Amino acid sequence: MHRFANPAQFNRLADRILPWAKFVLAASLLYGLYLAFLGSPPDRQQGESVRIMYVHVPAAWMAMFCYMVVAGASFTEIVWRHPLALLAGKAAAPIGATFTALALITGALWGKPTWGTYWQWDGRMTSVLVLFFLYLGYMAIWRSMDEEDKAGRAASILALVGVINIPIIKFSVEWWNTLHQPASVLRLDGPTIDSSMLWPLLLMALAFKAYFVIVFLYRMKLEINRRKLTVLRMSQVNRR
Amino acid sequence: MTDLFDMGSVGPFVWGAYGATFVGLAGLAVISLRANAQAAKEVERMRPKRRRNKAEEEN
Repeated sequence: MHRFANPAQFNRLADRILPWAKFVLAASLLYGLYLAFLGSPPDRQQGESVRIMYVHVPAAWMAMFCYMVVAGASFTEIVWRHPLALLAGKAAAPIGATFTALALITGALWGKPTWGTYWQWDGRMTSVLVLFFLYLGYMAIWRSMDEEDKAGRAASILALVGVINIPIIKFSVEWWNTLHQPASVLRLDGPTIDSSMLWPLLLMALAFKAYFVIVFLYRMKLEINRRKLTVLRMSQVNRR
Repeated sequence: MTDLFDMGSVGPFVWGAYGATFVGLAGLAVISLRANAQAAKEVERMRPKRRRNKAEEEN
């Protein structure tokens, strides 16, 4: 794992992955959007508003996935002191916050025509809102201290404590009465959703995953460059 | 197959959701790429300066 602790090696690996990720993003997004709008039928009960599902559900999956990346990076930093783990968490958090905000916004826009309300304080929506606040808290801690390593350590602890929210989001629809239906894709006995709707959903999820890889790698490069700048500036100050 | 421009009363909700998603994701990507390009440029700008300073010190 410490093989990629070298920023130059990481940058070389990122440069090899980026073109492939961009190709996957373009292909899955174009075909996914085609299926989402033209190749899939309207729902019998929800009609055309079901098309919001193809962005809402992948955004919600990505919101949880990004948090696991932040938590995994935090764990790696605290246990093994991997030099790039801190930066990985810092790079993934804004992407996760964006996906969480999008899940909340698209959920509200889907909720109004389906349930007659933009918002309800039910288990699923409230736990996703808590996830959004966890992201904001994580990013706020990073900005709150001058010493980056100390800030990163404190943010990592918050990220690890917040992991408890992930199973709450996942199982909230089973534990409490909620407007949300139970899981219909990520089930032990297989998806219950029709393949005409499952394929666009999976393709959009793949597109969002490829988007994450691209933006994450660029944000990692950004954090590495920021570190280099700090070192260069410090060395200039020390020389004077 | 659906008529993209005639989704009835739910049209604004569907287009609103896709519009918000596009704006959010494209916005974050542009901000990230620009910030990285700027930081990389700054690193490059400072590197020769460091080498110049070193050469001056040696003289």
